[in-house]
Amino acid sequence: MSGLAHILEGAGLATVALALIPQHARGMRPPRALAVPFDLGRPLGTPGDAALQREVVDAALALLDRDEPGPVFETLDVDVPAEAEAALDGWACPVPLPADDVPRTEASDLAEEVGLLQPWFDRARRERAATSFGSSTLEIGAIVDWLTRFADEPEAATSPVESLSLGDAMKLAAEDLKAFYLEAATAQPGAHPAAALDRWFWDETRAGAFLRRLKERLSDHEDGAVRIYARVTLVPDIRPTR
Amino acid sequence: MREEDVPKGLVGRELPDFGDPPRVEPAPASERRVSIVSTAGLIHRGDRPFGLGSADYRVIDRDDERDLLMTHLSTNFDRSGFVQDHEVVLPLQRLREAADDGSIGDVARFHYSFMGATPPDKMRATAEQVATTMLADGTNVALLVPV
Repeated sequence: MSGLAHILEGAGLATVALALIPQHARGMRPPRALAVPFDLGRPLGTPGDAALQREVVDAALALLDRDEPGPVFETLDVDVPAEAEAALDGWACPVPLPADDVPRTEASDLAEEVGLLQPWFDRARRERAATSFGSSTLEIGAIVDWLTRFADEPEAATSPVESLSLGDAMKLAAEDLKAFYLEAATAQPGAHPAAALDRWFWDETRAGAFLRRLKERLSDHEDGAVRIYARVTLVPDIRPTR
Repeated sequence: MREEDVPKGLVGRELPDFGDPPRVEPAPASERRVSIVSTAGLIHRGDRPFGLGSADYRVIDRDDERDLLMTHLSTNFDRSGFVQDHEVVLPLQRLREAADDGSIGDVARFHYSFMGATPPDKMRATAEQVATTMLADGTNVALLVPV
């Protein structure tokens, strides 16, 4: 982001950049940067907190009024909203997921879990203008079917989408699987802190466990893109802090 | 993130050196026409998805907020905030409010989305093209929003 700021300002636009990783902005020295204390993925703060979001926008735009040679660097000093902090301990999966004591196949386990979440995902899709589901262009049932077959027979898999390479299809299908869960979970009323959602998905759901296994199974795949995606992008190494 | 919360794996990396920052004299607040530049890989459903290392961009129309899709390829950030309220990534309504109360002059019609994991030097040509388009549209301020 800091690099884009250099390029755009150099082309004649006044720029101000939000910075989620302050150390990077300090190092790359964009013309004006406002470091914000929020987790990756939430640069304006808390969903639904218009006042906080507006505070971020105003603080960023105010840097344009600083009559001094750049770089201008400020840190937004705000507290994490109390509602989100309070919800961290009490937040739970919004639907009772099936017990994990009857091992069957990965495909049937995942399909069952997906089925329990489907009504909440449908509600989210009806009511929201934004989504992070759909990058692969596959429906959720096809994603579960294809990813689990890929995990069973890694070297036999082919891309299910003509326009996508095998690696891209694997990566995007995995992202869509995660997006489906998170969109369904957040369709429930109440606050949904990033850390609680992250913990739920990766530590409590079958999908999270499946993606960890998929990483292990594909990390030595003969297809270089699959191998790299599996090693680097299937499972996060950065976890939300709140 | 707060500096103390940034994982060690993200700091200490060698960063691109862009030198001293250029400086454009900003227009007075009431004359600022603001466009958002996002690196969240945002597209409207049906747009071409970004690929890994894509250096191109997509146009987000101010008047077409339906069915926005975040396609950033990194798994290291939380997307749930965006799907609950896309203002946490693309604060168009907050900018409208700023325009309504006179904090800025106007919200640009067009906003721009890049793929965040792409090295910035690789995006230079397309970013300069975006800048040209912005200036031609009367935009004079870019609010850059990472993810």
